[in-house]
Order: sequence, then C-alpha cells, then structure tokens
Amino acid sequence: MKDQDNKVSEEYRETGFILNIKKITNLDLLYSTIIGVLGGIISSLIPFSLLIKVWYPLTGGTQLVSGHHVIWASIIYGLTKKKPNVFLTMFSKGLLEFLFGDPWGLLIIFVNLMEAFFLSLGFFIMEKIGEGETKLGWAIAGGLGNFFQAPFFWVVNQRWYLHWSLWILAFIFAFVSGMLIAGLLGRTVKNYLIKAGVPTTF
Amino acid sequence: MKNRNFYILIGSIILGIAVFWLTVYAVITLDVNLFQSDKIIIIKGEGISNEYTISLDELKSDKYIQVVDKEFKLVNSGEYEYHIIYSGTSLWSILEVENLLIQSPEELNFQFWGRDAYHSPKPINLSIAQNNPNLVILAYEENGHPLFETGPIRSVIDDTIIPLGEYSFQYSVQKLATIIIE
Repeated sequence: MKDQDNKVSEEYRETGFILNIKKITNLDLLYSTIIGVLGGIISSLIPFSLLIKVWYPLTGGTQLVSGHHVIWASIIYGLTKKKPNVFLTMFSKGLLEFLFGDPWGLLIIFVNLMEAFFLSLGFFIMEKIGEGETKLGWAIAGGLGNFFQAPFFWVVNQRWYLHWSLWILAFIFAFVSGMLIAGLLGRTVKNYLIKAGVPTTF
Repeated sequence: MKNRNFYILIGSIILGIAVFWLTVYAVITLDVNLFQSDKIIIIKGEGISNEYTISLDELKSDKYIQVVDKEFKLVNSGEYEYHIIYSGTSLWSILEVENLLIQSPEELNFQFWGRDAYHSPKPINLSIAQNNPNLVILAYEENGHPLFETGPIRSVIDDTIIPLGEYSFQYSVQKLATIIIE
C-alpha cells in the first residue's frame, strides 16, 4: 500500500488546484487569456451598437449593449471564482482592443481594468451579503462592473454641453446593460459551460 | 422569497417608468423630430430668410461646391489626432447658392444638431465657413465609402480652423439633422 502511495506521488505532483488552495493554475491562465482574446476581438470588430441605433433615437442609447464588454469577465469569474482572473481577462481583452486600433489608445486598457475592479468589487460585496450565486447578486455585480465606464467616458469626452437627461439615461442604460448582459447572461453562459463539461478551477 | 421577488419587480417597474419619461422629456425638451428622414437636412434659425430643407441627392449635386476625398484633421477631447478622408458639400456654398442669409456672416453663428439630440458644443461664427468653404463640409463619404453607422450625413470641420480651446471632433456631428443659424 505504501509502495503504491509512493508510486502515485511520483506520478502526480500535488498542485494548488488539488490542495484547494486559491492559487492561479495553468487552467486559470488559459481560460483568462483565451476568453480575454475572444472578448477583445469581438468587442473591437462587431458593431453591437447597431442593434440599438435602429430603434432608440437618442445619443447614449448604445450604452444598452455596453455590457457585452464585461460579460467575458463575469464568465471567467463563474468558472474560476478567482478575482485576479477577472483582471487578467480584462487586461488581455484591453490589450487586444488596443492592438486593433481602439480610438482611445492605451486608455482602453485602463478602462478594462477599471471594469474588472468594479466587477470584482460587485462580486465581493454580493458574496459578503450571501448573494454570490443568485441571479440578483450576479445582476448587481454585473451592473456595478459595467456602470463606471459610462461616466468615465462622458467626462473624458467633456460632454458638459449635452442635456442632463441624456447623461442620466446613458448611466441608467450602462447599469441595466451590465445587469442583463454581464450579470444575467454571463451567469447563464457560465452555467451552460459547466453543464457542458468545462472544468471549473474552484 | 416572494417578498424579495416582489421588490425586484417593483424596482424594475420604477426603473422602466423613469427611463420612459426621461426619454419623452428629452425628446420634447430638445425638440427631436423622430420622424425626420435621415436623408434630409433642415437649415433653420433667425439668421436665414426661410427654413430650408435639402435632401442627400441635392446635396451631392454640382449646384454646390463638392469637396472630394479631402483629408481632414480632427482632434478629440483626449487630444488624439485623426486624419480622415471625407467627401462632402461645402456648407458655405449651400448658404450662398440658395441666398439664405439675411445678415452678414460676421453677425451670425451656426450650430449642428444630430438626429440623436447630440449637438456641437457651441455656435461658431459663420465667417469661419465663409473664409474656409472647403474646410466646413456636410460629409456623405468617409474614406471613399458612403457613411453608414454615422450617416448618411455628418458635419466635419477641420481642426486648423476650429476656435482655440475647442475640439474639432465634438463638432463632427454624426447623423446630422439640423443646422441652426442665428
């Protein structure tokens, strides 16, 4: 029996994953980079805003689809339950957007990291109040994750001259989009990925 | 659980009502014409004799000065500089050919409004358009292709003639609907 144990320990090296230690595993790194790159390509090349422009008349309405920028981070959090992975994913995504020639240049990486920070903060708070796995918890965390980029961009764009109602509507849309796309859709996608057999790392 | 879901429902309804009425308020306050065709530009204001409507086809006609494949320098509020090739119609040539002005350009200002209620930050003196007819245009092509997502018409003012402290990108109003001259 002892010989058998020794044999097993020679063949398998115990890692943080097996020991249930919350360290970043190779699988975490792979997930983060693959999903980050996927998000970067999709965010850069697909004009989701067209979905809104055909029916919503006012400027700022495209915030209604802005949640798709953050959904990648919420999926990765669902699969790994590690907040550093959220940052890694959003950094990869931001880097791809920068390389694809985003109009905001390097600033887009900062914006992605800012979204990662607020999404992680959202999940942290939701877990503290026992809503870490509920739809409501994910929706609020997603809303928080997506919200702050809206005021950031409107302030950086210096849109002081636009009517206050347009500002408020854009911010509401950013939060709602985060709730629906990054939060609820992200949670659904995560659940289906796990159901399909994608291994989690938590 | 029932209480929790009820509160979520109430919250969603309140949010929906707030968004609806804010949108209605913005449309009314900002005088947005939801039914204006995207292929029409209205020139109006106290500085012109009559409200004038011009279609995209008229805009492209040889009646007016056409600026073809000209590179424009635009700068956004993040100080990023863009060099984009636009084709379009000189704003000044429209005002001149149609004899719309009732005062001298030095006494008048113009401002662009988009169909989505976005507008250029400040009215600019019309003499800028008069002195630089090829640098203030109503563009219908970008890099040789018709404007799609941001069109079919957008205003473009080259950064070299924009007043100090202003950003030319903010004056490049996409989905242009109205030009106010007063």
